[in-house]
Amino acid sequence: MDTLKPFDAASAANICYEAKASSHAVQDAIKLVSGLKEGFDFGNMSNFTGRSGAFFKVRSGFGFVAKRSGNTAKDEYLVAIRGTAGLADALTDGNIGLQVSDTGKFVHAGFNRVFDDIVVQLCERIPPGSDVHFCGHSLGGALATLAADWAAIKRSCNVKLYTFGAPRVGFKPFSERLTSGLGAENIYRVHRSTDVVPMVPIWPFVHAPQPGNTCRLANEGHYDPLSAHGRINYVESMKGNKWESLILPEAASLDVQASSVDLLSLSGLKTLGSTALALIGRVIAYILKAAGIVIQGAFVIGLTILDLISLLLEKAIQVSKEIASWVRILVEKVAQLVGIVITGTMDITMSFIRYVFQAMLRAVRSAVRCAMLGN
Amino acid sequence: MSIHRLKVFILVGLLCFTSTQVHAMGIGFKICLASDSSGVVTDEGKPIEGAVVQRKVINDGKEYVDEVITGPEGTFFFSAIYERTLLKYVPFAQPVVSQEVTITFQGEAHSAWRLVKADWEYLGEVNSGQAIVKGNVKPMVMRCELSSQEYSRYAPDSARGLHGKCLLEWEEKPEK
Repeated sequence: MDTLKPFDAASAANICYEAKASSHAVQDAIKLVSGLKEGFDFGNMSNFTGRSGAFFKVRSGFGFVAKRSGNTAKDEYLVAIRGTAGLADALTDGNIGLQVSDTGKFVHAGFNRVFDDIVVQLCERIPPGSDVHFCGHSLGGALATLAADWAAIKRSCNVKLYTFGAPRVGFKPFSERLTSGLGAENIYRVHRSTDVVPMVPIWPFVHAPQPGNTCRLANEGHYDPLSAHGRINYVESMKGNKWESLILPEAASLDVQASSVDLLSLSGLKTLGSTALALIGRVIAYILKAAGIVIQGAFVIGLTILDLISLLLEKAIQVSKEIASWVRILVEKVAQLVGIVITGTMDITMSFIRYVFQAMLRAVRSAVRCAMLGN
Repeated sequence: MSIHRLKVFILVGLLCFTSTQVHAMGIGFKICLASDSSGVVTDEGKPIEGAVVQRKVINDGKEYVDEVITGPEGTFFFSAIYERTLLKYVPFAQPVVSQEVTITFQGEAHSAWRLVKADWEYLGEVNSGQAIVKGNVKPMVMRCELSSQEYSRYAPDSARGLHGKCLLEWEEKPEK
């Protein structure tokens, strides 16, 4: 199976949004992408729907499946899944709980619920053992990631995954298994340096490939997170590009990067920005690694990510006095950054850790909002 | 009820407002669903008076329909459509705004242009992200020749698809 060109993959991830506008909008859009129009049979493509939302569910078009045209040795399919295009989806994105995926790994509960609805329809359209390209932007990238994992593990398909501005989907075991299942060379993760969406949810969610390369785009003037994340701007950035010119070596995974130097660097933090967030993530990973704490088991089900971080750090406190002092340094620094005063005798309890990290996330959201408003 | 739960209910309550309610209350952020557009309708090069030009814009299931009749010089104009939304600054919420313009003359309907607007920017229909960032946008002024074929192409220097008989005043005639 040949790899899709960057422009064709980004176009597929973009065009599937247009299914929400009208079916002929998709046919119009396909006419313009020769790599897709000539390679796949869009005359017989099938659309699929999904139900999304946190408090109420809305069914709407979520993407399409098109089969490779002409005679090929194996059946080959293109599956494009759209991202958020309405209120219901935005609520899904904010629902950061945990669930076990179809393939048995911890993933974002909101994404997984939408995928559970889609997978039934994919089952009807993609025979086991096929070659499949999965493309998606934003939430669509997250759903394409879950679909790629499902197709590789449950359907023994030969899969290539292309995501654009996608958020993190699962914990490290999920990302590692996806990487080994597909092969790191078959995962094309494109993100822009100023796009905030790929930065969420926060650690311990990690991207795939794990380990592997990424395609990081320069900001190209898109400092506003909205235009940095815009699907059409991703397509424009892919025009005329080849994967070879886009792929960059990815830094080592967070827990490999984390070291005692990070703990010392905490004292130098003055403001809560992307550097501070990355450092705080590494320090949490370092502390948990030193405490010998691994995230696993059914106990994380039903927890939000804040609950999980607080629970794990509280467990780390109990391992040794030294590690307890590190947790205190971390919590005090985060508290200081968000303007919470801690007295010398205050106990660092799970609920207090949760309170401090909740304040941190509020501050981050506020900072992002200010940036978006051009302040 | 805890403060946290109360906040969640207030947030959900606010998000549950329809865009119409949000607009009517003057809250939320201004977004452009369709930009000002204008043009000249001709047939075999001659201006057409009395053609009915209809614009249909659909955003998240809500439909806006405008209709104008061309003047003696074949000209028409549609004003921009704005709304207010609480979701403008939610990066996850990608705009998908369908815009279809049809010209009806002597009982025959012609597809003037069809597009899907993928941002909330004024003139984002036909200008690239780079042009918008640099503030170097060009207008939606159309030349609509009824005897011509329909064209499918990208607006110049962008990945914004445009389909139909009308051409932008500032674009070259596509090959086919």
